[in-house]
Amino acid sequence: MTTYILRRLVAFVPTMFGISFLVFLMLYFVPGDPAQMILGVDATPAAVQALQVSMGLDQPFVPRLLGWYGRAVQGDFGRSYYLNRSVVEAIAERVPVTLQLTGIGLIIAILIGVPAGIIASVRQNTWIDALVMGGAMLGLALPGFLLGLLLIFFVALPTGWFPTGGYVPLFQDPLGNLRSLALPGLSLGLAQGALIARMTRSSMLEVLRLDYVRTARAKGLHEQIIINRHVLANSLIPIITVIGIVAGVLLGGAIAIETVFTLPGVGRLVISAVKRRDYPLIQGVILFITFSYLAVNLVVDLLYMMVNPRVRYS
Amino acid sequence: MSRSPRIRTVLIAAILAIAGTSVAQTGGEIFRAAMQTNPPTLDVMTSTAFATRQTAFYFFESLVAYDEEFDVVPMLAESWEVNDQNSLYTFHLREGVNFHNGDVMEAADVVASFERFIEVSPRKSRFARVEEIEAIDDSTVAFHLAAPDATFLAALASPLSYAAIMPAEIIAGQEVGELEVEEMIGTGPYRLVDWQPDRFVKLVRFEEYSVNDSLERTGLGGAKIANFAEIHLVPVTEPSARVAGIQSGEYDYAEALPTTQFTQLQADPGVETYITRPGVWYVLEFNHSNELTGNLTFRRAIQAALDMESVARAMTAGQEDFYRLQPSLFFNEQAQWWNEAGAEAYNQADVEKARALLEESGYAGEEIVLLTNRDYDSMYKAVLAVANQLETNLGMNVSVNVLDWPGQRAFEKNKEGWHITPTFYSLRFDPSDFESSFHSSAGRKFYNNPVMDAAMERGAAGATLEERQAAYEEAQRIFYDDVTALKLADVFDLEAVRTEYVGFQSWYTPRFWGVEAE
Repeated sequence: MTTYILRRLVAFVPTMFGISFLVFLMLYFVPGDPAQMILGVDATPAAVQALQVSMGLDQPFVPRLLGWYGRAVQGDFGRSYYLNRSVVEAIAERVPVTLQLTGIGLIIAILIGVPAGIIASVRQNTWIDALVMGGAMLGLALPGFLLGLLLIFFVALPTGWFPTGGYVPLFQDPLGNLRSLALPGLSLGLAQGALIARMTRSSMLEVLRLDYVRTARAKGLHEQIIINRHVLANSLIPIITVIGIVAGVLLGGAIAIETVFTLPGVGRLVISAVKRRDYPLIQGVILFITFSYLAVNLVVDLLYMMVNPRVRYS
Repeated sequence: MSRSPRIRTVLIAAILAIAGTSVAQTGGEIFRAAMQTNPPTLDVMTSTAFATRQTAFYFFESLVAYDEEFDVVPMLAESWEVNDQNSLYTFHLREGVNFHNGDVMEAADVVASFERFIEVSPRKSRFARVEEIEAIDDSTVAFHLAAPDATFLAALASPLSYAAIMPAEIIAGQEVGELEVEEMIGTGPYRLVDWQPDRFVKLVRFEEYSVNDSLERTGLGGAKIANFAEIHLVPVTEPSARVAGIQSGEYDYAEALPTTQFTQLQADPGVETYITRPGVWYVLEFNHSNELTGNLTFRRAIQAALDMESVARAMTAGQEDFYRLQPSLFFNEQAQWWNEAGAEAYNQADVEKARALLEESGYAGEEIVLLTNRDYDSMYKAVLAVANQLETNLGMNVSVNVLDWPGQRAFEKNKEGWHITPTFYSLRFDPSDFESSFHSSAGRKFYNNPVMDAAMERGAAGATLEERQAAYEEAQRIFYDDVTALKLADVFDLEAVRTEYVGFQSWYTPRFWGVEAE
């Protein structure tokens, strides 16, 4: 088991190498000039060129790539052009926000999605099923930013119970922290919960049709026990998979929600880095997102083993 | 029946209590402003970015500044003398001006600051004539110029990237981007105490600020009274989040609000709206190195065709309060420079004439590429409107290439692959600032016209205001005759302040000195 985890961790390395190469390649070919962005619209061409040289942007592709790899393997991911700090520091500052947002969003999504999916599947083809699945469709179809804006205008503004944006650090003011993350978490949770509900329903339906469920019913087992112990337990693998995907997506930063609610998370970091062509920061954040995905994947695989004893890795 | 009023009372009390706590959190001594972007740096000497100077105005001051009427007024200098040849400028500094670190400003600080400025500023070429900066005594500084320069004061006062006066001991040997937050020591009414990029800039009142009481508060000069203990500038990039924030009282001020929300905000009793004048003017620049757009007749055809009213409506969602159609390179508010030279060529909307010119130019249906971006919504809408007019009215073969803003800026540097690109010109405090747009030395969009160069040079060298006005009027006429670029329209922003505050004056940039709680 430990060997398995170690082997998986080692396999992260080539993936991350490959991803960073692709990102480097794309950034090299996408037009854009950080020196121009730093100096502003009214800078003279000569000033822009001088800054390009001092930033090493006049260098060809291969030396730049090798230089970056050389420093990255020593743990030096460079300094952000704009944020006045190292790439590692910049990411480390944003991670708590993203982690908290992911946690809250995921909990809400599971609390809504799993029960809704179970009810819909057990009451298949009734008005309850139609209502739940209609709601899920709506949740999937509504873009996240729109849901966020609706919550701001119809919950935050009239009641004043929640701020319309901004982030309060957890250790500075725990209650304020919760208030600042409630609406963004709800927007994320509703949308992702819809996805989980659909997956739960279809996975449950598949199991409900199996012979052993009929047998269980025939021998007079209580319906509650059948659903919980026999059906749900055996439908968990696809549900866990989709929860894993949701977690990966959220860890990569909920860009729209972070923008609407002005939360300083990883998603806004990567967007603003791209908008300013902050090359070292883009590289660093993409690597971080890649790592999160790989780590979530690993956790999901380990969870499979827990919920289904037949799954064994060696 | 008897119970429901009591429930209502309890509910109202609860809501008031909650509302009360949120007001206590945001009001009082901290003034919070929702800004549209995060500054790339706060070292105003090294960048012309708008967000940089907007922030720096609170802690960095210069020798001279522009007032509300766009005239140069004293700031850290008390007075100055100019010799007859416009080649020696002597400044007398105000005495006893404190830096944020407790030092008192002296001539040596001015010399060191200016030396750093002409080393690191993107506008340093503007000061190429400065030969020597001499500290005559502790409170007198002389600038010796190698050649006459009538625009020296105007250039010095220009806030685009300005010679902020900093303590000599701090800036010695510093380079671009090397100033740390704690090294941003100026003489302004607020001190910079914290900057978390993309999160906030925290400014704290400078208790030993030396108020320049020789003048009322005006523009960037005069008496700057700091009424708030702290000012927090918070970048809120999503426009609707700024709207929600100012309406809920989360922020006390918000800039660049969507003009489509104007009516809604006007109806809100908690919010006072302002239309920011002057704003910027939008412009389409031509690729002068291209065969088609390098052809004057072709450019004239496009100039003749466009109906600016409909372009401006597209840019502002049809809100008439937020655009102005006027031909000048200068804003109407810049009374000493505004003129009407070449006006007949602006906003012609003459399709017949345009068709004739297009035929004369030899255009044979080649593809015309318009660049644009979605970071600036106004540019995107403007280009779509223009493309539509060229297609339907002139039957041109138009394609629109949508990039992001940095991508567009980089793409424009290619000689091939594009014909027309949008941008905006921010307020040019002094007309000589147009050199970076029109003079061939700037190489902007490969434009090179010796007649334009001569007019710009006459304007920069002119000894009297009349001479300079004549030169820039001529430059404006050439701008239209030669179709250097196409002016679309002046466009204004919407900004808002909570009604709990009085004393806000809308101008080129928000300034929170002189603003106070009612």
